Amino acid sequence: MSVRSRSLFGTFAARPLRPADVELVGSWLDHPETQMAIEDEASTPEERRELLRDLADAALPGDNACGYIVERRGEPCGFIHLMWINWISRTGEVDLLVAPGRTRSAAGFAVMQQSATIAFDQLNLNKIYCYIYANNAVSLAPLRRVLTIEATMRQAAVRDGSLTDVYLASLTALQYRQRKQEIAWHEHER
Amino acid sequence: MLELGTTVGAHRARAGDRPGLDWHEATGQDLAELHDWYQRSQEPFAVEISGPDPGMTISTFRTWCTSDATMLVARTRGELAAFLWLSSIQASVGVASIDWGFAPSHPVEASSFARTMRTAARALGLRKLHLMAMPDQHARLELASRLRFVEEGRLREHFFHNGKLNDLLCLGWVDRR
Repeated sequence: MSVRSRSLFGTFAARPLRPADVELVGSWLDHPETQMAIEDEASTPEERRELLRDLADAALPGDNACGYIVERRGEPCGFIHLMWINWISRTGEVDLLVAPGRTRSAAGFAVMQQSATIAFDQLNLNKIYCYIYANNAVSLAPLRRVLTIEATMRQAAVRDGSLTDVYLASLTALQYRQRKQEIAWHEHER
Repeated sequence: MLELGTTVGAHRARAGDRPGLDWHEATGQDLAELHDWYQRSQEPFAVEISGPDPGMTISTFRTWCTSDATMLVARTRGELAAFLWLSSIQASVGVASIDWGFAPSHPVEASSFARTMRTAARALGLRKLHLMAMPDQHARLELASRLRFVEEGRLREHFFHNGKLNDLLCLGWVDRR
């Protein structure tokens, strides 16, 4: 199932990751701009593609991870990795990725919107959360508009040889529904 | 395999200590008994940010206990007395999650356990540990405080247990060495 939303910036749609998307998303993940913002544990380009291939084969519910492509006018502009889904506590971690070069555009907000729509309107999760490095100002500013920072993990990561804090930010289903009403978050098209 | 058992158990010999536990990395038999403990436990067992799933089979449980993780156990009189679990180990940044449990019949000796935790963390190259606890787990929080864990946040409605979604307190320990 795909999800479509219309905003002032145009129409965005999310659809499940397909095997044909693996190379494109892999190239986004390889980009230095992305590598600066994602987790420290080293992974090779081939390991990243293997993970993406697994996500393209994921079947929900049952598996605890899935991937979605966000498109604008049919062109991929973002990637959502929903993982560590706990079907009992109904929580899931999200990694959001905007195609390099678009980071400051409306695509960032749209990718976050789409991840919430998938988590709450499709999968009936109760909460999504993500980790953000304290030095990742580009991601932090837009995410703070929507997510709540619930924890600040001191010295939990290394960036440029120095210890840095990591924020854990979240959105509950209740907050999502309230914000949808407050700001006419988006309209669905079928 | 890490030779943690001998190192950690050696703390017993320190002058003035109350007898501690002899810890070792969990064997297949230990994991089978831990699985039984996990299935019978009324307390949430080995809570981490994404779990646990209360219905794990023995094979899933073994993988969960040992994948990117180290499970240490201690026995007294032939029975499991305690476990100390270091999971989600990120070796390159020295960060992991931690959990522990004590059999009801075995009293916790905080200073001895603190040394066990420190020794295990250092043996694995860890300098930062994260612990999760529900706000009403008073004994767990008291021990965490004695081990110098500091509250770093509160995760709302994060963990389903006893018929409702519970908050989880997020605590952190940094090796000040």
